[in-house]
Amino acid sequence: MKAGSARPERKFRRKIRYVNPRLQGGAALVFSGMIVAGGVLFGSLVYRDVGKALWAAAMRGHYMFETPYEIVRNALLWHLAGLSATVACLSAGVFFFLLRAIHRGIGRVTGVLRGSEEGELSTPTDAGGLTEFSRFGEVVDAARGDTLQRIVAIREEAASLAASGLPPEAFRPRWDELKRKVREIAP
Amino acid sequence: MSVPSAGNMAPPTSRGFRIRFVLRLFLAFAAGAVVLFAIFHFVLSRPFTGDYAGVFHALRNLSVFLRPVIATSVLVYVLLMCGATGALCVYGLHKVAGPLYRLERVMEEFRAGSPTRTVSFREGDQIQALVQAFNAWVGNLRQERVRWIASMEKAERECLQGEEACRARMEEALRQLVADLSRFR
Repeated sequence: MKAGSARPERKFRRKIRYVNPRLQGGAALVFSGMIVAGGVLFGSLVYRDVGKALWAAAMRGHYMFETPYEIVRNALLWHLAGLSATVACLSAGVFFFLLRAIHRGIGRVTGVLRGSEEGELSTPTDAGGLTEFSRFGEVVDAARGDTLQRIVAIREEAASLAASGLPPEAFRPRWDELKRKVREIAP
Repeated sequence: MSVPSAGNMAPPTSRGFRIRFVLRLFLAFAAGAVVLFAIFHFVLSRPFTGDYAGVFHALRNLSVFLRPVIATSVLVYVLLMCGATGALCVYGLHKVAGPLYRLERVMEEFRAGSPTRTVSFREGDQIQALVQAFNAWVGNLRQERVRWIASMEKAERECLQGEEACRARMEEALRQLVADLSRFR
């Protein structure tokens, strides 16, 4: 009898891609809006020009064409090329606008975090660009603010304890409490 | 202290990421145009049959049915393209949104006082400068904290030499701590 083979247990973790509805969903909505506008414009122009071409061919009365496609080919191809070029160029423009906004927002937050490394914890991030980055900047500010609050509390307690001249039995518990507070910084 | 502006820094997204996104966008629009062309070609490529009257009526009928044909084909195009660009935004911008999301989660842990791990990168992740800046800030704070604790514990060890020396050393450690912390504002 074949011994039960020890299969390596595989972990199936579903990777969630849609993690930021404001950024990902917002960009998708802007692109979709452009596509809908381009499609409507294309439809109305094609309806006007192709309809006119078919009507003119019907009225002319002598047909040199084997299929309706041959009648409308030029108008159709031009409109298709126009639609593709317009929507593609507008989308590229929107994408680069989005990148610029990401660059501004992320650049500002990165700068603030680099400043925090040198001890600057109170300057607000004020991340411009997209609303998402303003919100993210507020999260960063909150984390920096909490850290500063802890540091200020420790500094005041340390200064007060150093100058207190308390007897050892009162000094030691405050010293231990201060040590515990210092341990809470960036755990 | 001045905060470096975004203009002084390297772009948070790589050139490869930008080019790939735009190329995929163009590819999607080209595919959409081909689909639209195929629909129109299929509808309009039926050969004319019959005599003059038959062809005349075929053209007149086509003019009448043109509106629903165009509406349907544009609807197909719009749905296809919205789906494609939506997927592109979700998958492409995940390289920006993913690290941002992970960073936000780590920052929540940091605020809650839980042990904070460094934010990791996945293959192709963008905005690495931001994540590195956060990791550097937390890493720096952690190093400082270890140094402060070490200084306080060193003062405690002096207690073995007597109460006087112990107290003097502790007060010195406290003054040093105040001086170190005064650079934070």
